[in-house]
Amino acid sequence: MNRYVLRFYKKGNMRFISHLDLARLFKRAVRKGRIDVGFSNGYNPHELVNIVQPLSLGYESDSEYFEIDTMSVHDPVKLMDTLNEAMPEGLRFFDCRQIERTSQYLSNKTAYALYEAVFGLKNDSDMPDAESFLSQEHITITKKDKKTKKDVEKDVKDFIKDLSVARCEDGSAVAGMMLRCASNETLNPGKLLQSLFKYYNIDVPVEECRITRKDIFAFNDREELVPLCRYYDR
Amino acid sequence: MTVERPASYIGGEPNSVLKEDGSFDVRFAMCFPDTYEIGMSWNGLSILYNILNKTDYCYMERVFAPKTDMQSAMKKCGLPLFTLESKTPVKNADIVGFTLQYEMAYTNILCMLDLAGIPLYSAERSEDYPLIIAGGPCAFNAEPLADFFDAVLIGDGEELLPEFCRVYAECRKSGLSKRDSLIKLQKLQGVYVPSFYKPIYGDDGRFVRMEKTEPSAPDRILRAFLSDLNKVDYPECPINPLTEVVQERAVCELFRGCTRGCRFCQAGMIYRPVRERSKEKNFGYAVRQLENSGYDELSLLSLSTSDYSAFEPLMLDLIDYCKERKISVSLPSLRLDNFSFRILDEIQGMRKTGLTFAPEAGTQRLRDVINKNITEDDILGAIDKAIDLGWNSVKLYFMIGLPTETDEDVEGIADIAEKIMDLARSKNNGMRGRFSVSVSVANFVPKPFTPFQWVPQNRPEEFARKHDLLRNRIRRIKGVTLHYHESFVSTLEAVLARGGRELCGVIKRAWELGCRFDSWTEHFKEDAWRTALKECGIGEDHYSLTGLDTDDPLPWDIVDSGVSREFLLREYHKSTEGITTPDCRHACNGCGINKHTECVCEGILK
Repeated sequence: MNRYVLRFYKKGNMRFISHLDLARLFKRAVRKGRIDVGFSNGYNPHELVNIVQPLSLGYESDSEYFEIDTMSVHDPVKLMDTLNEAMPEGLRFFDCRQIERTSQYLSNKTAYALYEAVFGLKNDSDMPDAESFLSQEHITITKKDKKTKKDVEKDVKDFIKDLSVARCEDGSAVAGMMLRCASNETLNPGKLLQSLFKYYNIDVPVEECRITRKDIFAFNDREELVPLCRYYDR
Repeated sequence: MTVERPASYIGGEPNSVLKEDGSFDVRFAMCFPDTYEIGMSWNGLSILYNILNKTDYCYMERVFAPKTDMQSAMKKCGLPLFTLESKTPVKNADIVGFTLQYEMAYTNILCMLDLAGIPLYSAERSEDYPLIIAGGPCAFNAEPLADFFDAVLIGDGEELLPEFCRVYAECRKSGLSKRDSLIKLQKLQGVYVPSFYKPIYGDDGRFVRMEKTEPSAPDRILRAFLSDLNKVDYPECPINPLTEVVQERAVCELFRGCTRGCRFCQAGMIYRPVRERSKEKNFGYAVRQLENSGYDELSLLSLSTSDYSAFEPLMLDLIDYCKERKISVSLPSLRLDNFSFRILDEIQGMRKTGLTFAPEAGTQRLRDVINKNITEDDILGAIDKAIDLGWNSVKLYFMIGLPTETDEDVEGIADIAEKIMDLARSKNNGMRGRFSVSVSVANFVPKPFTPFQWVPQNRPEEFARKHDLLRNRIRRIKGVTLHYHESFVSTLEAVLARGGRELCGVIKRAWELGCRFDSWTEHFKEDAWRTALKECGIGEDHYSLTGLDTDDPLPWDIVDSGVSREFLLREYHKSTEGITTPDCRHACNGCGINKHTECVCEGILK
């Protein structure tokens, strides 16, 4: 079998499509395009495809990754075009490479993701100072425990590689965030913003922040943090 | 502000249709008065969407009822109800069409009109507002909603709806008013203009007759017939919802209608006669739907799938095609004969899902009354075979409150379940193993245009008593579970199904009192409905519990379903004597449908 990895963006209304909805859409695109996708063994065979890291509902992304195993060798551009034929507006594959097929998907290689969040501020004095926020001993977020459904606090200081906030010309603010995004640990940028707003008593509902994932990152052989596309394109 | 499932409000799905403004004459907002998840699973939408959007004069766009959280958000932002395709406000469409699939969606219609900023009553709408129309099975008696609609389309929509749109576009182009347009439109077979008639009531408040207010209006409205399914297009590119909906699969309607003649079944009466699509066409549509949608499931739809005359060869071809591509096939409403079992075994393979039977009544006597021609031996024989093939769960569907029903009939439901468990145990060395039976009982709702249109419905207390009776019996049988419905919902369904125009006020009042999504248990407001009925002076037993005299004029007499009143009455009388009527394929039973259109199935099994 052969493995291809495709980059795609998810914009506009497509930010309202959940991870599971997206997976379903891609599987249908594969069927529609009559791509000879591989299937798992077992009673309930499923397509060997993988969306590298789920993106929360409501966020846009400039660079997401999708892996697919096929029975035969494909021309990457043709494969990409075929899949694009079944994409609605707002979703588009823009790069496709063949990579070595290993037992692990790229999901196990990712380390961080870079996010950008744009939000309006009611008062000029509301401008949060990222540095002093980061200097806290603990940076806590509130999240729902999956089992008990109760709100629990969690220290995520180690999950933040970088956080900066700047003012835009139109008076709104833009935050850049490099946050942990690995198979076992992730930090949701919305949760971090909530914590930041709470720290500075800023009254902005996090749903009103426009959040975009700029790219997903991994460490290369030389321990440098690089976009995933440069990680596998060696 | 956040809403649940935002993807159901964005449109833009693969295979949805975009047309440029100005490239068509009529913008048709097709409204399904329930959520996206439910509406997108309705095959009729797929059929009409395909047909109307293939014309150059019409653009059909979809509209669903926003969930309550979205409704609040829309009101807060001042966002009017819009179409999914072009996001046009529904108010700016030329025609707004509602499908009437079930009575408990009626308040959602008012809700949607209100969200759209359109006055509810047709009399209150000026020339600037769209024409508001309705169709679907409940349109056969649309009287309870008659004041809200400008026109009601009755019967098959494939030919009538595009013609209706075309004529309306012409009328408006030539400057005709809405009323003058409706005078022209009512000439099309199947078009009913409620405002051209006025119901007259007696001193006791009961319906007496319809009086015409427009001299050119026809005396009765004969439903529209699609004479040949092969003549019209069937969808090949179903819309792929971007978010999960109830049914996500390719759907092929093998045929329309049913020859079985069950006396409670409205679909079996109003979709007559049986019209089959050819095997070649069905196979082609199934394959193209699968190819163009990327679905991994195919469903073959009809009222009694295995009655399709080319069922075996079609199934063999489809199974070959689907197996190779790992596509699963589902067959609702199957008769369990030998061939069906082979097919079921083949398509389900290792994954045995539940097996479903619908005996509908607990004793042979009552099954004869309702003309459900299935015997206990049929059921037990089929289950015997099913167990051999490895099934270990069975679902049984029954109705409660059927005409002439006694407690013995109710207990007969438990008897069947018990016999099935005994059979399972005897085939498993006296052990139950994992075998289980699920019994669902629905409350019988008498429907217009059926032989039971005159019969009284059980009171809610009577339903509750029967549920208790059954629950106490079934509790003692290990491995059997019982499911049943809320009784007052069924009472309301019967009131709305058989009521007349006097109910328009009740529905409006219920909506004002906050009723919507009444078919959703979590939204149903029993008290509000009771208040609405009371305030409008309508008893909860309105028509539904007392029954109607066979000489009584009926509010829906204005509509001619093609099946004669004499036939329905004959069937009703036969039912009271427990006399069954054979399947039409054995001999014509004289329902009268062949006076209006060709009935090719009569006597073909002679």
